[in-house]
Amino acid sequence: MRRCSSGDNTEFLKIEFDDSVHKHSGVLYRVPLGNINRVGFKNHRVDSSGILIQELVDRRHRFVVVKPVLSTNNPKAQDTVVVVEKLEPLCAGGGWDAGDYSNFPDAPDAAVARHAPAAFDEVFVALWVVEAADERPNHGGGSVDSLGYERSASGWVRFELVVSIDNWFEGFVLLVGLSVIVRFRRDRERERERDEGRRMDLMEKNLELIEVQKLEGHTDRVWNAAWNPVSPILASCSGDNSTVLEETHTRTVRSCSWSPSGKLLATASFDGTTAIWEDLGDEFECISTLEGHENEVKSVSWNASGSYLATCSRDKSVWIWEVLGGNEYDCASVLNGHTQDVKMVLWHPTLDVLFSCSYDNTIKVWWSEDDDGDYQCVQTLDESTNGHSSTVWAISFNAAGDKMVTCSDDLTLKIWGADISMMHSGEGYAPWTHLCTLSGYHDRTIFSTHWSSDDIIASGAGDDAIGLFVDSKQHDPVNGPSYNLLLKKEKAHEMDINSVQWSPSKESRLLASASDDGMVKIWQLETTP
Amino acid sequence: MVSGLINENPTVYERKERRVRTDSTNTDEFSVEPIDQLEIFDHIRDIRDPEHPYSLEQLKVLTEDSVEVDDHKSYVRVTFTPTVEHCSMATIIGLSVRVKLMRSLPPRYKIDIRVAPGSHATEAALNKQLNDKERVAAALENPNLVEMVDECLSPSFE
Repeated sequence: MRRCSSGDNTEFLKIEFDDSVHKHSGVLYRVPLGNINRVGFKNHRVDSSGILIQELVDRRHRFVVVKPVLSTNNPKAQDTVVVVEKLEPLCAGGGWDAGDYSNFPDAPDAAVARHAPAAFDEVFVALWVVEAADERPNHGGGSVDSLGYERSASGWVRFELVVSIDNWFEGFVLLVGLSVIVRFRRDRERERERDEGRRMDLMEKNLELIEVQKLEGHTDRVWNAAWNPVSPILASCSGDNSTVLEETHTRTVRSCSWSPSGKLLATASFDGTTAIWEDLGDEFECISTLEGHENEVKSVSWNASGSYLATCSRDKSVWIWEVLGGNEYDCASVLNGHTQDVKMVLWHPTLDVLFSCSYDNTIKVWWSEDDDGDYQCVQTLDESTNGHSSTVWAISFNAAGDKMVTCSDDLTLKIWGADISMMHSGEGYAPWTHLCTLSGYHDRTIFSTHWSSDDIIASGAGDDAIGLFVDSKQHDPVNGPSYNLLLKKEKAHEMDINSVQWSPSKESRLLASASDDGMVKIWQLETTP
Repeated sequence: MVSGLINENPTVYERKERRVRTDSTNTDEFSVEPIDQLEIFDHIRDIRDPEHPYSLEQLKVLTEDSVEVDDHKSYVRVTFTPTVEHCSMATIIGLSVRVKLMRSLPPRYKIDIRVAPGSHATEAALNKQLNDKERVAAALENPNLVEMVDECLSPSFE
């Protein structure tokens, strides 16, 4: 994808045929919506007698939106996902030459992708495509301007078009080598129905976890898998130290974490360093290496705004790093307090409060009261406060950030809650209290747990099984909330499961699991027909 | 002799006579035999003690009864008895047993290693460390430890 200029000094993007296009779905996935401005095209179709008809899009009828509701250089447009309001079937491909063309939506290279809904009521995102590359999906060769732009004296003239489709979709449409203007709006009604529908289907209990994809390629155990927050990419790390990482990390990469913008990936390694990688499209470049821990780094976490990173290690310490500009990272704080190996660190989803869990069986909460970067341990959750009786391996928060789940070698999961509205309003630290313990579901160490955005808790354990839990919604004033097992997927893998993580996508309930058997599997939670 | 050994004079026992297996009842060449106690013990009995030129069996660190196996559940637990209570070589012994089993048993197996209750001063801490797979993995990336473990394992592969 590159920026070009036309004769009249307007900028446009040239999209190559397989530029960031996913092989199977045809979705252009590495282009954030904000980079897509405007698109225009020409309709090619074959009529019933098989004659190719080339129609120029009639501007007068098609020009619908004069001015974007949300301009595309607004950073919020980056992670907006939208409803396609109208999408007209059009021919894909084709050119001035006779050749193959197909009708959208039959085009093999058209696909609808799905994302999480956005927070805006109405967003107009126009897709800039300037021209398709020479290599069209159906055949190579042909002229460059397969889109049939009308060339004016001063340069290209672009058309705007509103496209319509019969069914409701949530997502954005990206076509290879084609251009389309789509009008989007957030479909609140459908969202309400969907959320209702989801709550209903969770109750019905005829749910299954179906394996949708198996990713093989690692030659050693896979410790961790992490979904990119903005695009459908999954990062996984392994003891096998795949080629790119080998040059930076000299030992096992234990965990990885994407920055909130999805542009950077941090990897934590047994070699004592944490590396920061930038996604350059077809490869990752190591832009910085954080050193300081005395031995194996176990986990790394970005705070919600991406301004801080935290790492933890077998050296019992937790380090906080400040993200400065220009690929610079500075150690802001070294936090001592744990008496053993620290297994995981995690920033709270909305507040700059840091959580760590350890081989010393405790969970510690670190906070800088005066917001001056001076972090202290403000709470320790141990056996005396209904905490775990063995190594705590992982922590995860619900979307609201007022509950968290922790899992342990003691074979239990524990749910904790806090009144974080107090913290948001600056009334001081709100302590975490134990709400519920889930035991008897796994008979080997529970290595990982993750709380989905629609309130399903997943667990992955050494018994090769994945557990899913939901709030029973029975409000017991004495005992507090309780959670039920939604389902247990036995033998999800052939060996220990080291990591489970829900995809940020809200449309489908996708779960990634990583195992000692060297595989990463992607599961979908569905109602059985 | 190297001085400063944890246990200068270990008691050495006779090796148990190896039983030859004959199973005339099962003539189906395609059936898979369940893995039993003896088979697993055979994998680990010849592991050498880190300090002495004797096997763990000879030093009675391991016996056939050290092995508790349930093949159906793919589970094995090995309980070993260090020769002295303050044995600091216990970690190496435990690691060696684990590595040998990891290499010899099918990947479906879950392996627990522990010291015999009451046989070591820091029993709980030792057991916890031997069964934390992240710690085991990190330890096995330490070239010094790997060398010691390989030393202990070499005779058992003969």
